[in-house]
Amino acid sequence: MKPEALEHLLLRYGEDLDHWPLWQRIGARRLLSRSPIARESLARVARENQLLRRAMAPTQMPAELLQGLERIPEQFPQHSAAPQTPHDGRHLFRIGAAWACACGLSGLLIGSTGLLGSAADDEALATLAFGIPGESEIHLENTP
Amino acid sequence: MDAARTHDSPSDEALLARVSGGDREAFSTLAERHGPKVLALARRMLRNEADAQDIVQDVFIRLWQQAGNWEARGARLSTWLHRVTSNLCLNHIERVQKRTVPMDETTIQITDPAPAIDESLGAAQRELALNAAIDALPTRQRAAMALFYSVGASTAETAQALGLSIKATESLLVRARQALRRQLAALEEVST
Repeated sequence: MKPEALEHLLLRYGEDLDHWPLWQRIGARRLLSRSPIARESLARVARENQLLRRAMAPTQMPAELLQGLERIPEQFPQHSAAPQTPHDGRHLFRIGAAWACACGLSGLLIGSTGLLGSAADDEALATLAFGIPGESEIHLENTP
Repeated sequence: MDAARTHDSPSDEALLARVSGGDREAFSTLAERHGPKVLALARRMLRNEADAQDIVQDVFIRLWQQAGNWEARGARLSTWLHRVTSNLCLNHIERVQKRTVPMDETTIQITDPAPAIDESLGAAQRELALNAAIDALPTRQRAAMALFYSVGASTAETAQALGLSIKATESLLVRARQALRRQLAALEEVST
């Protein structure tokens, strides 16, 4: 690993190497053991992150806001709408199954209509699909 | 993004079960536990105290009303709270932008500069300047930074709360850190 690569990974994963992907951690540790530039990069990122954590630390909630939150139960009834938890496999499966059923039903409908369709319909379809005239048209042209 | 709880205090799930039965004390405990981080996220995203407090109210009203139907499905309550918060903030920003003259992020950076920095830049001033620089970041970068540094979420939890992939979230964080690094370097130069 080169110092530039380490610099980029420090920006991506932070200064705590224990949280890095294993193979990158090994390369980084090897580089840090022999490169003062790499060690300086690590120290710099640690300093920057410390500054950021300090600057962005959450402050206490204003008392009025907390009191407002505590009054919510008096003001709003509880209801039964589901909260927005992330979609799981079962949810996606249900959507997929519903979609498959709808497709199957449409297929059945189209299929049954096709059984009752006329030769003219078949011709129109052939023309649409392949850009060639239907069978009956050719037949007419060949008729003496 | 572990909920702030001590050994004796009940878990979020236990409290939520009580809230679903109408327990107001359990709801207050959840509000005290998660409120400051939800507020920190909203403040950082909206850059407006009154709007941020309105969003916090909204988030907890939803929590109270929907507690009875909570299904964790592997998600933590804190992740749900932060996701709802960031969605409400993004909706709010969108509404405000529609009402006002369009202004891109570059313009914000110019019109919302860091506070004046004198030669003997103290720690407090530096923190102010850094906060101004964070506030000048694009919305999603700000949200990712707030989740990571204010809320203490991991990259994976940040991604989940923002509805993004881990890769996309890492990129957001890298871009934000690079921008702030440039600002910090400028501050260092001024202070030396």
